[in-house]
Amino acid sequence: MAWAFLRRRALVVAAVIGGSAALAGCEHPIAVVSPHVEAQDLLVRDTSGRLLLRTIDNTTWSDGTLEIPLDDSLPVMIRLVDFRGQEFDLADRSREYSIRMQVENAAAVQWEPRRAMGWLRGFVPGTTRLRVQVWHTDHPDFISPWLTVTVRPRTP
Amino acid sequence: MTLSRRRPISFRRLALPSVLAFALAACGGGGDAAPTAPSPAPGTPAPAPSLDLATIRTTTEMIVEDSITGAVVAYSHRDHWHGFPVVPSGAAGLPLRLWFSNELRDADDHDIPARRSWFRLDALRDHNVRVVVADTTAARWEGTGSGGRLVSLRANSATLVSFVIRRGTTTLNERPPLNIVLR
Repeated sequence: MAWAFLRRRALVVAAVIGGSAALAGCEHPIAVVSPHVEAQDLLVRDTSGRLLLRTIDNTTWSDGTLEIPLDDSLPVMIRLVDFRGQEFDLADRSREYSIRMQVENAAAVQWEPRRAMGWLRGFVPGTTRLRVQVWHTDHPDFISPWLTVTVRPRTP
Repeated sequence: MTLSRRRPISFRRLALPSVLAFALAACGGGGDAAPTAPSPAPGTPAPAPSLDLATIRTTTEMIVEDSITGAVVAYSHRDHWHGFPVVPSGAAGLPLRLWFSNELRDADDHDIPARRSWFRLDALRDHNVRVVVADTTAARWEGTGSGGRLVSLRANSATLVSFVIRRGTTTLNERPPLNIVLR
């Protein structure tokens, strides 16, 4: 009687261990889905970490405009602020997130993302608008307000 | 003679292996991973891509190469491009060769697809690429699905170029618009 009980327990333990091992070795675990990005605000920093501008309650920008050098690039880091006021970097989270820029005059400004930063390039002098989108596989989790950007030649 | 009594198989004995089998079966459903080409040995020329790799999918990436220097001037990566062509003034324009690759990189992996995965549209029957210049007063494309040249019509300006890959009249893939700068 006791032997049968122990044998049954051993069978259960073996099944649990075997199942766990099978799942742990699985390349595509079942239903691993990264959560939506929950952010209150967005920061634009230069690559030294200096804050260039930020959104305020994601309704306006702290500074009215961003200057992009003509025929040159402006390297920036896009960071987010969660609802506790903590800044975070999407690069530290899932690979399912990406930063997109929607530019009104798309011929004038190009966004080239890299890991944890990206380049804004100005091709046509003048003013246009862009907004930043935090993309989560097939939809945006966060969209900033429109930001006026001015492309102009670098001043010596 | 003694007859051994066989106990009926209990539900629990069936249930545990079933759970394990289910877990293993679900494990295989991870979606269709992009095919990977074997790495060529160092020093050996890259092999021609297999027929499976030379297939246009919705995720197929493009590589735009300067056909004279062989330098990559731009390559697509999911929703954006890396790099941009600069078209010099003059009738010669910027001669380009168009390559395709099914090496799908992660969203945060911005490296160029490995050259061994590149293929030309010549490899596929009935396929063609429409190169659409957004501002036709600024630039012109002269060429075929494998290559051609961008010609600047208005110096010191910029526009966008779209690549639409089709089989017959069916659109298979459209890359995001590529910025081009005109000198």
